[in-house]
Amino acid sequence: MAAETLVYALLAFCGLASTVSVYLAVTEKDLVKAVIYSAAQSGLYAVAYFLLMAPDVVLVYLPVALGLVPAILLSLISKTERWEGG
Amino acid sequence: MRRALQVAFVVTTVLAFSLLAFAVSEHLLPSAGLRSLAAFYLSAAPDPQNPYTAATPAVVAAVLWDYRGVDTFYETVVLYLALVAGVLSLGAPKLGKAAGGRPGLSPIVKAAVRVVAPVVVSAGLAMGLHGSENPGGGFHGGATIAVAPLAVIAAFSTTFLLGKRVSAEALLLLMSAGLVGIGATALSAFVAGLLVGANSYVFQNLPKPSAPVDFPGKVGWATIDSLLLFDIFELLTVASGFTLALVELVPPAERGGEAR
Repeated sequence: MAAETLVYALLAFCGLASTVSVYLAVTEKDLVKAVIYSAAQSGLYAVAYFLLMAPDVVLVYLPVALGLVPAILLSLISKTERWEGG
Repeated sequence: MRRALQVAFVVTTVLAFSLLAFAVSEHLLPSAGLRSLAAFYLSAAPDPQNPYTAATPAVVAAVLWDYRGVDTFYETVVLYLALVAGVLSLGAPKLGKAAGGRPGLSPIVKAAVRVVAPVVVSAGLAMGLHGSENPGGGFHGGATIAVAPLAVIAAFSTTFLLGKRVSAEALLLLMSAGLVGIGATALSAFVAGLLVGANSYVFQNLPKPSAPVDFPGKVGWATIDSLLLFDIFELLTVASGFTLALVELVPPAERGGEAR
């Protein structure tokens, strides 16, 4: 029972913290920081998928959302500007 | 201060909606029972006695490459076409003289990447090759392997990677070979059925009640079925495809860095 409660508590934390990460990623003017917030959100989602016993999703989510997508976004930012105008 | 207030507002909103969802959860929760299709996959895939078995405990892999293999094939084709379109519009990057700008990251990072990159490739290979028995598969393994060239490009440079006989042409060739392999594996049982005059299907893995043609399946301790072949070819396609995307997006002249 205690283990199950811990799993639900961790899931709740991941859900809450990932929503905050998304908010910070959307509102951040520094695009490099926005990519880092987005990667943090993906990491929290990966933990949530693991807790939901979906290892196949975790194994593909980690390299793509934490490795390849941030790298591609950072390379695109390097071709434009780091700071969002406006 | 303003940012902290905004975050507090987001947290409060999420908690309020969670409370609301909890209050009405009795009416929102889906049925605890499995839907009939899910029940079929979960019972048939791992059960060797079932006439529609995929003979693997990895039900996700069975659905991806056996029961719904055509879907996965077209997803791979989409990835392939997107990368080919990218190469056509950007042009293949050539190994040029290093621009002499940034010398890459620090020697400590480079030494770490030299150690970690082979480990990442090994983990990706294990994930891909065991995908027909365990969680994982060709896409998972290929995406993991592609993190190794990403680390090399970040720590050294694209010039360094291209200097290691990794070229856009070779990556495109590997990607095409993977896709052709998937197509050939998908058609092999069907063609074998045509040749022997038996009923057979595209993407057929093990024998079905009305279609006796199949891959060998379990041979002693080894499993030789279409799932393994699909995983190997998918791994090849995805690993080379993502590496190609990285090489395209971070061209050598821009990064500079060391050439060896």
